[in-house]
Amino acid sequence: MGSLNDKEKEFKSVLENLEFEINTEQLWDKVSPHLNSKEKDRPFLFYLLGLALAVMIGGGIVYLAMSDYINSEDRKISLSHNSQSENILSSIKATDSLNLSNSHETRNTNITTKEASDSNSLETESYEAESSFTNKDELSNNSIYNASQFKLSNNRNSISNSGLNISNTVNITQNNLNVQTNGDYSFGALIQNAEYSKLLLNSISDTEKNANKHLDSLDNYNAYELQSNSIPFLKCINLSSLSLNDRLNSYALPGSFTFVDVTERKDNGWLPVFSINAGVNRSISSPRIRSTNSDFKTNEFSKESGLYGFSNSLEFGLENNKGWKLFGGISYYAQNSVFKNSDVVTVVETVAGTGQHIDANGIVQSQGVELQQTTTTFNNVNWNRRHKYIDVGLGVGKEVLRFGALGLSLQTSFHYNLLSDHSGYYFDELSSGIVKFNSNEDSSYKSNSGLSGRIGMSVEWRYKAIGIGVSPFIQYRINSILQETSFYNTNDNHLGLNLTVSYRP
Amino acid sequence: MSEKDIIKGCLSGNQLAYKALVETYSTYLFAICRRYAADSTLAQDCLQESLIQIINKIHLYKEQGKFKSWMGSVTAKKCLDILRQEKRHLSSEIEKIVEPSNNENISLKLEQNDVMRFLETLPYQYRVAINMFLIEGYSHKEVGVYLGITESSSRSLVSRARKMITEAFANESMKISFLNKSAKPSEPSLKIIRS
Repeated sequence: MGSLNDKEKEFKSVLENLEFEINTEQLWDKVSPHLNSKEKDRPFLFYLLGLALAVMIGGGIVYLAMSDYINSEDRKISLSHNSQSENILSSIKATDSLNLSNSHETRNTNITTKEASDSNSLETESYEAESSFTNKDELSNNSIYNASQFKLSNNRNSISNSGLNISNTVNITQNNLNVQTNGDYSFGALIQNAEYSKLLLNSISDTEKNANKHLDSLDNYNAYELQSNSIPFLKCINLSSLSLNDRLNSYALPGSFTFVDVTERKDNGWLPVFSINAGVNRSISSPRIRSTNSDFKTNEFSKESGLYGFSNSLEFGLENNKGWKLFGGISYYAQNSVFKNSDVVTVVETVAGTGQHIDANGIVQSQGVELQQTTTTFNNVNWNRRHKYIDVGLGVGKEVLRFGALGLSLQTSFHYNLLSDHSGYYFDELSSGIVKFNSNEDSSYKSNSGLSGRIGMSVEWRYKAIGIGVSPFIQYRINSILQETSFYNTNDNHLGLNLTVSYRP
Repeated sequence: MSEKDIIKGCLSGNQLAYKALVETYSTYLFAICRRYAADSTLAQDCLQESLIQIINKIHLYKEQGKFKSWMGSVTAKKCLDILRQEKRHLSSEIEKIVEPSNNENISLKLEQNDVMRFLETLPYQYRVAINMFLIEGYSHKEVGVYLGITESSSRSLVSRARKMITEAFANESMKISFLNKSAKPSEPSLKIIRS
């Protein structure tokens, strides 16, 4: 600063000695509500959101359980008899023969008792069942069939019926829907969508099967399936005409055969998919100085670097057989960064001191002098910070490539930050020093950083209803995570790599 | 309540200490806010925000300097932050500056009101430059960074602001009464220089 003239000195002096009347009571009323209270609730909110997340996961599990309700009885049966099913299956041999004809008439069939070579499993098993059969035309056009017509008097342990040959081995893949047959195999297919539910039945005859003949259809299969102690009749079906995008689930029914259900996707149909993602991420953002009102120098940002954090998310989506997917969910990220600095700081100050002067008469006189004081400090500073975010997001994806069970998808999504939590160390502009702060304290960081965008891709391998994949992505936060009053900006963008497990009920 | 008690009480979250701090230092801090703000209402907002910042950040005060000076520093920075936000709604540019009159606005006796009235007539950039450079002791570079102008522009801006002051108070008949008051010398502002 150059020397001030008199007027400037006078002006400065007046400004430095301004006096005003302040109504402190009124001021206190305005200030007091803002003191040390607003950030206290943050941990509680985190617990609340954690609880909400747990409820969502729990809800998802319940939903999935409910979606499997149709076949739950069979699954229970299958589990309860799992130990003996192999032996039973190998021993079952259909002895009855029912010839399905094309005539439009109903037949009554008595299911005969079977003898099993495996004494452990079947020597005591015998049953009788009464069942009505009809041919393709009647089944497909007649809606009066119900459980009572198919109910077996036996329960659970074994099954066969006249004219149906049963096997336990069914190998079906998504790419090859032709069922491998080896001897007397029987297959069934459940076709379900929002509009109907059908059980398709077919003959075991290879000739007929290959010709797609005797493809029988039974409406209202669900109603039948829900009957306890009831086991569906299954015949052979040629599935080769079904599209590759259809889903297949196979599971064993008690001691008898593998039941295959096919959930058909219509062209415009949307089916649900649930995903759980977890992985690592790393910050790639560069801080930028907003003002130089602090002693923190711009070049010191180069000493700050991102560390690996982790992220996870829970998503619910809808996808169609064109490969489009709409999804939404909740995400949690933890970002870490570290500042390392080893340098020498020199502070030069001009301070007032006292010097002694010996005049010509030998008299020692003291007089004020200006001294330059240099202080050298050797810094070895490490500090770190952790940023945690909870976001909700909506996005869209498209499967662009598929090689067999392996698919490649591109995805983009927008996320809104519900809550941010920050803790660790930062350079505080007020104290010109490094300050530690906890997540429940007021800090220079925002508790909500608003919108962010993400683009990524996913490589997924599907096996039946389960998909496993990896998803690299980059997430860009539109807003700074710091308060407007902070001396610098950073958006905390990050790269991430997630492991994804998805379930398509 | 002594300064030490106020600090201790604020650190422990004592509401009485908070109130004592507000009552004791508001006048001093408002003067700083008033220097920066163009009007009294904005200055009151600055004071309110500064007090909240001071109390919520009092744990950052390291007792190495005067508490009052630390509060002054916090208040000045808060004022600058608020002014920066306010500036977005203003369109004051250097080219549009209207030179303040030294005849109509200033009475023959130069007192606090005269200086304040003069300060209020100054555009945003001049007022900030005078405060930062003349009162707070910031460098031209720092003034320039804050105002978003180059260092040389800052130098020119401060030079013009000083000229305005000189011209505004050039009338020798303006015998200023405040000179009779015991004006305290400003406290030296030591800036840390890092290599």
